Amino acid sequence: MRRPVTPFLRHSGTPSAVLLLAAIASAGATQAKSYPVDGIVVALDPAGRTILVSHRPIPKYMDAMTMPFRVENAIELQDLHPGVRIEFELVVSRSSSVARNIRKMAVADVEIPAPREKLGIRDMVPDFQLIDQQGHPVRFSEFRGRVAAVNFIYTRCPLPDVCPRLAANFALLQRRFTGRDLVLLSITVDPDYDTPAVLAEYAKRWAANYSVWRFLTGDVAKVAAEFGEVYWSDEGSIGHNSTTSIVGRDGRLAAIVEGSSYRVDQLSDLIARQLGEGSK
Amino acid sequence: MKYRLFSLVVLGLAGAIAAQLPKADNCTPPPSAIAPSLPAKLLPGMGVVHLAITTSNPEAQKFFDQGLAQMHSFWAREAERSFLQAAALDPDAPMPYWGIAMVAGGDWRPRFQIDLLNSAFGKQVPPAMARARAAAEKALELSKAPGKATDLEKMYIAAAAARRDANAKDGDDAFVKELRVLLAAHPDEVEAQLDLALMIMRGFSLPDRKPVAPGSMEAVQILRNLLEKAPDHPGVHHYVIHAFEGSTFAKDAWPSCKRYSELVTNIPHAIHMPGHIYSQTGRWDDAVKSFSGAAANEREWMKQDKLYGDGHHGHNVHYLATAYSFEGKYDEAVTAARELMAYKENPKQVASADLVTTAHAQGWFAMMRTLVQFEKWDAILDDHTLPAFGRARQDAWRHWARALSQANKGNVEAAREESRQFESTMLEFRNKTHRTDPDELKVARQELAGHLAVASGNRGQGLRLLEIASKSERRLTYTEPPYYPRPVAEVAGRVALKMNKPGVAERDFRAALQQYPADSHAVEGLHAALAQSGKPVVAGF
Repeated sequence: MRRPVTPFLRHSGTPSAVLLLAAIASAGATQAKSYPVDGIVVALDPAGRTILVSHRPIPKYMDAMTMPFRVENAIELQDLHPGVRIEFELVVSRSSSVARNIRKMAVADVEIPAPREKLGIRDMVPDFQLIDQQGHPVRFSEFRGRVAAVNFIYTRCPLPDVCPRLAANFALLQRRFTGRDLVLLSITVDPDYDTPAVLAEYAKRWAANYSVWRFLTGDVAKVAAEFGEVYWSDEGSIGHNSTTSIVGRDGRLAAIVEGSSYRVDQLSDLIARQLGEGSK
Repeated sequence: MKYRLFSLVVLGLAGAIAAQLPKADNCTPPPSAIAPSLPAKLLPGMGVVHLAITTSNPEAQKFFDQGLAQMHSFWAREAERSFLQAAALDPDAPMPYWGIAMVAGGDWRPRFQIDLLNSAFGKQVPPAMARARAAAEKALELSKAPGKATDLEKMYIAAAAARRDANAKDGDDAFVKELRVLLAAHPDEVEAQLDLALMIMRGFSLPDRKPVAPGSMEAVQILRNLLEKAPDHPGVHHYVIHAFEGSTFAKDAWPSCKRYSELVTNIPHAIHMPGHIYSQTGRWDDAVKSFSGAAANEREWMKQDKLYGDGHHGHNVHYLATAYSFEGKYDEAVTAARELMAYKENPKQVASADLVTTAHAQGWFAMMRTLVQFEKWDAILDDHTLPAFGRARQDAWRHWARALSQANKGNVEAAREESRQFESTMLEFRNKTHRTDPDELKVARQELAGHLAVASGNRGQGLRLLEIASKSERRLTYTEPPYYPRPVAEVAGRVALKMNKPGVAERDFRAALQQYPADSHAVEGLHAALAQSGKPVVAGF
C-alpha cells in the first residue's frame, strides 16, 4: 500500500500542506503541544526553511507518512541530507507547527568514521565495473537514465537484522516498483567467497528478477569507499556498516541511508521522489 | 572471589564490551559468527578421539571424531566445520548435529568461565546460538528414526538438547542433570565424564585457593580417574589443566601439560594452554615454549583463513611477552610486543571509546609492561618505542609510565606534569565511557603518589604509599596475563633497599614472588636484600 505523500518543493512556499493543516486543526488546543518525531529526510529546502520527512508513526498524533515540516532554526538544516535519519520535536499550536531541536540519530553503537573517498550528495558517482550473479561484467554507467538503489551485503552474514533485512527490503522494493525505471544493486563485501555462483544462489533465495536486481562482486573496495561503506575481516565474520544509496537518473548521488533499521516505506519514499512520483 | 583464568577479561568494561562477547575472552578463539562454509579436511595433529556413532558412512565417523577432538581443544569453529562435513556425508546421522549443538554456541568452556562471563555481562545469547539450537532439534528429530541412534546416542542428544532449550531455566544445569542420567546407565562412558567434569568445574577462590563449589573437586576427581582410564585422550589432559588451575595443587597438572601438547600438535589453544599452568607455577621458560609454539602454529592458520581473526593470537603473544618479561628477557619481550603492535585495529575497534582486547592493544600494553618492569626510563619517554595510543585508557597508562620515568630520573616537576596529564586523561576516559576509573588505574594512581614522594625526598612516605598500592594491586581481579604491569611489591622492595631496610625489602620481594613465582626481578631483588642483611642467599629459597 502506498503511503500518503504531501507535495513539497514544487509547491514550496506552501508548507501548510493539507495534511499538516488538518493535523494542526485537529490539535484544537490553545496551547502548543509537542510530539516526538522519528524520520528520514527525503528532501531539504533551506530557502523555504522546510524539510520533507518520511516519518514513523507519531504517537497519539498521526500515522507514518511523508510530509513537510517547517524548521524553527534554519541552522539545524546545515548538516542534513536526503536519507539521514533524524528526530525532532513537532510543536503544534492552533495556528502553526514547527520542527524544533532536530538531531541526527546514531545508527550504530560505535560511530565508524566515513572513508575519505565517500561521495557527497549531488556528486557524480564515478563509473565502475563489477561482475554480476550471472558472471557478466556490469558497468554502472549502463544504468544511466534509471534510478539506482545500491546496498552492501554478504551472503554469509549471520545477523538477521543486517544483511538479510537489507535484502528483504530490496525484495519489497522490487515488487513495489515493478515496471519502473529502478535498478537495485547489492554489492558484496565478501568478494572472495561471494562468487557469481554463490550470488546467483542468494539471488534465487530472494526471487531476484535479473532485469531489476543485480548482485555484484569483484574488486569492490573503491566503489564501497565511494558509497561510504566500511568493512573488515573479523573473528569468523565480516564486520561492516550499512549504507544504502540512491542514485538519480543523472548518475548523481541523491541520498544515503545509513544503518539497516530504516523502514522500507522510507526507502520507497526516497526512490519515488527520484522517479518523480513524489507528488502522486 | 573466584579464581579467574581469563585473558584480559576486564570486568570494569562490562557495559562497553558486552556486545563483543565472546570476544572479551581471547583465551579461546571465538566461534564463527557465521556457519563455516568451506568444507572440512582431515587434519593432522588434532588428537585422537573416538566415539562410535550410528552412521552408514565411515568417512562421516572420521569427521565426527575429528570434530570431537577439536571440540575438546575448544576450537569451536573448526569443530563445527568437521561436524558439518560429517552431517553432509551422512545426512541421516543424528550425532553430527549433536556435535554442532555442542560447539556452535561458543560456550564449550569450563563452567567457571561461563560463571564469570554471566556475572560480568549477564547471560548472553550470541547469534551463533541459533545454529546450536537448530542442530539440537535436528539431532532429536533424526534420532527418532528407527535404527538411527543407539540408546546411548539418544542420551547424549537429550543432554545437548536440554542445554539448548531456549525455555530452560538454566540450560547448563539441565545439561549436567542429563549427563548424570547418562552416567548412571553408562558409568564408564569417557566422553560423558569429560563433559560433566567441564560443566561442573567451578574453579578456586583467591587468595586462599579453596574450591568455589563442590563441583570444583568433583571435577578434579573425575579427571584424576580418567588419567588412568584414558591416558591418551587429549580432552582429559586439557580439562585437567583447567580443573587444577588456581588450586593449591596446580603443579599436579604438569604431566598433563606435557602430554596434552604432545597429543595435540596442530591446534593453537592446545599448544598455548599449558603455558598458563607453567606461568602460574613459575616455569616461565616452559611457558615461553608453549606460547611461542602456539604463535608459530597460529600464524600458519591465520595465513590460510582471512576470517581467522587476531584476538587469540593477541592474547597468546601478549602472554609470551609477559613471560619473557617476568623471566628477565627484555629484548625478547620487546620483540613479541612489537609483533602485536604492528597489527592494525579494524574501523570499529578504532572508533571504540575503550578496548583492550585487540592484538594491537595487547601489544601496546605488553610493551608498556616490559619497559616499566625493566625500568627503561629513557625508552618510556621515547615516542617511537611507546607511542601515544589515541584511546583514553591506554594514554592514561602512558602518562603514568612517563610520570614514573620522570620521577625515577629525578625530574620531579616533569613527573608532576605527567601526573596532571594522567588525571586529565582519566577525566577523558570517564567522559567518553561514562564509567568510573578502572580499578587497576586507581592502583596506578596510588603507586604514582609513592614514586612522587620518593622523588621529592620523602622516601619513608613513598615506601608507605607503595606498600599501600601493593596491597591494592594484590586485591585486583586476577587475570592472565595480569593487567597490572608488574607487582608493585617489586618497586617497594627496591625503594626499601635504597633506604637500607633489607628486612622490609625481603618481605616485599617475597610478596612479589608469592604473586608470581620465580619472577626474575623479585628474585634479583631478594638476592640483594639478603646480601644487604648479611644473610646467605640460599636462605631465601
